[in-house]
Amino acid sequence: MPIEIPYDLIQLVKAGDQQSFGKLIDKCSNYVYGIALKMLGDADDAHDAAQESFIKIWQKIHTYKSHFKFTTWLYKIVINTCLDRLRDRNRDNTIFQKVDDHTDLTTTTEPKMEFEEQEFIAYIRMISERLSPRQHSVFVLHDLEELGQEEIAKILNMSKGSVKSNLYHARKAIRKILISLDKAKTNAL
Amino acid sequence: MKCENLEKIDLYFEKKLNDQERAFIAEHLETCDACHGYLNDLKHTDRVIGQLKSFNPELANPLAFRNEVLAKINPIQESVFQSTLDRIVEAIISILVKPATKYAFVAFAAIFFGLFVYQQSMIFQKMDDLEKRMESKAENVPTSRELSLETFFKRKEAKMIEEKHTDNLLNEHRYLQLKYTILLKVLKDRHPDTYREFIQKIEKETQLPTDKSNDYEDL
Repeated sequence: MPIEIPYDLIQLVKAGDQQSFGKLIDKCSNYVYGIALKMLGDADDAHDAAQESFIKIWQKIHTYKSHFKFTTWLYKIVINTCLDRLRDRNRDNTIFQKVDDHTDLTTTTEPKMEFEEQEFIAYIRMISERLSPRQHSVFVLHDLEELGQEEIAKILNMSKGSVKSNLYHARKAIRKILISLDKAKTNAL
Repeated sequence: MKCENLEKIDLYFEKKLNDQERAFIAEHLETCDACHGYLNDLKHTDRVIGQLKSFNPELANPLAFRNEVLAKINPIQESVFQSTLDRIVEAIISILVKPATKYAFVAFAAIFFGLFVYQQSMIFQKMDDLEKRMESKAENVPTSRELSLETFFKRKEAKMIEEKHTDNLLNEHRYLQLKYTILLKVLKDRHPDTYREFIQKIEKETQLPTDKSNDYEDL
């Protein structure tokens, strides 16, 4: 869901106006939290990553060039913050332990028209576990955030070809996840 | 066994086939279980992704979130000077870390060091030259005594000329006498050998005949 940030507001934040930064947080907090949750699949982790992203925005706003789309710059900060957390998480190897705390997807029937947050988190968590951080980022940005391949290439510092290839492998992996999930459901019944 | 049309199912699902191909795959799907199952998988995946897409997560308390962020940036803002320094250092490091700039920096440092060494060697060279020149000049430079005599002579001469003008001819003899005395003194100091020869020659030429009285006595 794209958001529009007024140019004047960005300039005021750039000038160090804390009140304007507060307004910027109000405008983008749900948006940033949403991206973080889609990347991390953990509400607390996403909350912390969103806060960390805003602190980085405040510290690095002077590096933002006005001729770039602000949201592209914003995505870059949030995605990089989440990728750092995913790497730390993989390093700590606590991921499998945490997944058990979430909703068991094998007990649910066909997905409902609208996801509950827990179900959403469980799916994202499962996908993020199976995909490489790059594939997961491309999947989130392309299929969930509906960004164009060119913008994704800019955000992730990769070529358009690499975006396409990562997207293909991501979808293939997700398909496999869903098939294995269906099989698990059938066996559970 | 894998169906040879399986790869076309993706394109069929994404509606990227022409009408003829599309009709062919549609007919094929009725008879091929593998392709039919694969198409169902694609639809299912697409449906799940669509549902994930439609879900918009929201913060439980956006106001508290905002205040927490602002509270965290306050200490950062207090040390603006420190953060500016950090930014400068960070910028320098980020430039140096890039391979191209790293090599450029090394090349620049090498050139700078080379120039520095060259400049230092030139300074030492110049100092040596100056020392040599001073040594060679020192041989022709008048000694302090000679200088003082010259000065003395010039002053005296000036005084003599002044006195000469005032006392006119009466002092001329005294002036000349003194002038020659000084000249001899200078000669003695600067060229002692010449002075000795000169004195011997003068003494020889001005010497009066010895034992003249005796001669008279002989008369």
